[in-house]
Amino acid sequence: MYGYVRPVKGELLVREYEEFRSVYCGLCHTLKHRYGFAARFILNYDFTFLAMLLSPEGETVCRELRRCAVSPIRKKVCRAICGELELAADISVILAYYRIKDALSDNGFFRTIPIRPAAWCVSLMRKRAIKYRPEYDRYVYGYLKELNTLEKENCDSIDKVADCFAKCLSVAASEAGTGPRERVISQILYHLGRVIYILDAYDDLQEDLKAGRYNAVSTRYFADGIIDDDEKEQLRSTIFDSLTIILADFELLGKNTYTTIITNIIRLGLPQTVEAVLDGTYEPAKRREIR
Amino acid sequence: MKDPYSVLGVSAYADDEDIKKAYRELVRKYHPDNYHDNPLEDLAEEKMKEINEAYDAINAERSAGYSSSTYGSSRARYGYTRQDSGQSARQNSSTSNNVYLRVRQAINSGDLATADRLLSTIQTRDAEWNFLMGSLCYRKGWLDEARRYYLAAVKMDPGNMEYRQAASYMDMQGSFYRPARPGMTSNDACSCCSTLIAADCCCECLGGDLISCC
Repeated sequence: MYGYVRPVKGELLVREYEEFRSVYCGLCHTLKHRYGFAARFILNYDFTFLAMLLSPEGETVCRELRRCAVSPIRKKVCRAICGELELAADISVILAYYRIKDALSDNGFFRTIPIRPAAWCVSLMRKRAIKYRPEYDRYVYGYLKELNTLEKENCDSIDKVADCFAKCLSVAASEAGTGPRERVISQILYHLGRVIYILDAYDDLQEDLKAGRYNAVSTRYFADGIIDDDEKEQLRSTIFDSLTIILADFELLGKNTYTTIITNIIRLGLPQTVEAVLDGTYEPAKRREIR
Repeated sequence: MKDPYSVLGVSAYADDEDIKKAYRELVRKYHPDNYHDNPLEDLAEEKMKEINEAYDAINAERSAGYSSSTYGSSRARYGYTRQDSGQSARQNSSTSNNVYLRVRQAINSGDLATADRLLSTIQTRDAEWNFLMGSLCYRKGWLDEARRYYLAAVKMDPGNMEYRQAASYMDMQGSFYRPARPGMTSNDACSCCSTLIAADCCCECLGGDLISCC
């Protein structure tokens, strides 16, 4: 995914900030433990959010002190490796693989030379991830194939296209279980996926227009090639419709250790990111910001 | 049954006013309007039932304690008693078109594939078709199309309250997006009045007067 899902740091309590950081570090260690050192480069905030969301209700989490390459001397508090972190790590590897594969097929031979070694590494990791999550990989493969077909057909329904990507996230919940809690998480992830897809499409708008590539947002809203305010307002409202549903659905989940952090992300972080992307002022988060 | 106080998120020693406040806050959160056409409506309904039961249990317990309590069965209760997607409109249309009735049943039971199939067989795309299509899209999470279908339905039949309600629900829900920590910048009527009174006091100290009557 793309690092869009992050908290507004200034609004977190120090305790909450440390908790968030411990999950981030825990996920990093899980990635290394399961997929080797190189896997740490695919770490991002979106999957930290996923790991927090998947954590069971009312649980007191296990933390431990660990050293790592970034902090070799001072030990950092990390969340101990657990089921949710493993699931988040597996999903991040599988989605990273499909993302890099997409980048390879979108660009020509010479432009992809710099990313080829990374692509090779990720494909090795994905082989291992398939062993852990064969079903999930199969689902994602199917949905993204569908997405590809729709893109080739120049589909003008943003919902249809975003649906394929959104499902890739929502099926992740079924890997965690099939109870009512997972039903709610699946619905939250669906709308989160929808928001991420639309934001990413808008972010790539200029580039895609220049290269003459398919772009879901431009096909639906800016078919005439001009971005006017009225159409942009429609785009904003459909994104906020999804955020509203995420917010309402999240209220149905029982409290866990991270409820206040997740609330910060949903109520403040996501709207801020949406506005920044729509204004064109969005900047990807720097890793060191959270350390 | 769960402890009613923990359901409302208050301590067992909280006074009646606090409990009422907590109850109202929870009702606002899980209000049926927030889950209109949401596939998770049943879970919200369960939650609301739990909250109502907890509130009733606390009231019953407390009124048994002090017999002079003012709370009783006359209190307005909130719940999912709203008509499901316009029962009345359903009956009107059922005489003219049986398929729409089946579509509505399919949507309400969560069988979206059947609803989709049935709707695609209908040739005449009238207001109701657009409305049902909107409802189906909303349940699938296809919010952009849902909005467009609802608006088309309203445009074709502006007099129908059911269609207008559905279109306005989407706008209303958007306005629920409020900042996380309210209270830090409260701009309600109370704070406005208290500011005026404070300003009046200051003026009086300095020999003038802002509000002549006090």
